[in-house]
Amino acid sequence: MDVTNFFSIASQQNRWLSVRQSVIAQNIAHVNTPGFKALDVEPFEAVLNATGLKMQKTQANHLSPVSGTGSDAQTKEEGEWAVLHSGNSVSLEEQLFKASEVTGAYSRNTGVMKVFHRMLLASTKG
Amino acid sequence: MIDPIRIAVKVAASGLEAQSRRMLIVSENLANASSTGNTPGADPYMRKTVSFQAAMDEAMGAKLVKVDRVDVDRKPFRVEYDPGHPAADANGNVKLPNVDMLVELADIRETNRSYEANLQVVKQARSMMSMTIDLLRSS
Repeated sequence: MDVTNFFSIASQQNRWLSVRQSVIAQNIAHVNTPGFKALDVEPFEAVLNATGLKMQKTQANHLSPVSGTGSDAQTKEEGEWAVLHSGNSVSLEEQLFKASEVTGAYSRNTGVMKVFHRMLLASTKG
Repeated sequence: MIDPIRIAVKVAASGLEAQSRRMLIVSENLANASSTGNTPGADPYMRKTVSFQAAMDEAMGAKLVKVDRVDVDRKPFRVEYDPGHPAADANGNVKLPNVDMLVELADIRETNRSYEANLQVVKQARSMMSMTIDLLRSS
């Protein structure tokens, strides 16, 4: 695999992780809001495969679709396994577990990126 | 386009604010658990309830929490026989607030737990931010 390709995948995953973190933050903030349904983002594999498909340009002045909102990963409702009487389906433990999972993955990603960057620098500096 | 980590911090901050408003209402209820009226037959303090609502923030594309409204509890008052009390009616009965200590304390615990969870999110988002910045640091 190409090193630059690795950087693009790693930053893509970091972006996906930060979108996921913001969705988890939203779930945790709404832990006491009646009727709130917990959300989660699509798995990274789905996002990674979807980004390979781009709209074909047949003319130079065709615009390529750019996501204007903060989150480009689709969100979906989570399986409701702990729905309270108020209709709230947020499980605090589950969300905190997910949040620490995200932070762990992010730190692993940035760590690997650092190492690759060092390698790149070592080979360019000689 | 706003950074998703920044959105996470903002959403958690709205959660912190909503929970602290709730704490305020609960402490008001607890403090006034035995506040009676001071004219004969007057109504005592009425327990306040607070409810949350999801408010969509268009710029961020995320739902913030906000305090929907603060209502009063319509539960009947406790009545105690105390003829010497200034708020006692003709029969000597005093109306006491409809505040249940146990319910309020349980509410405080829940508020505390939710506040802590939101705080944890802020901490984690901050550590993610600093991890990204650390990429620039030459090792």
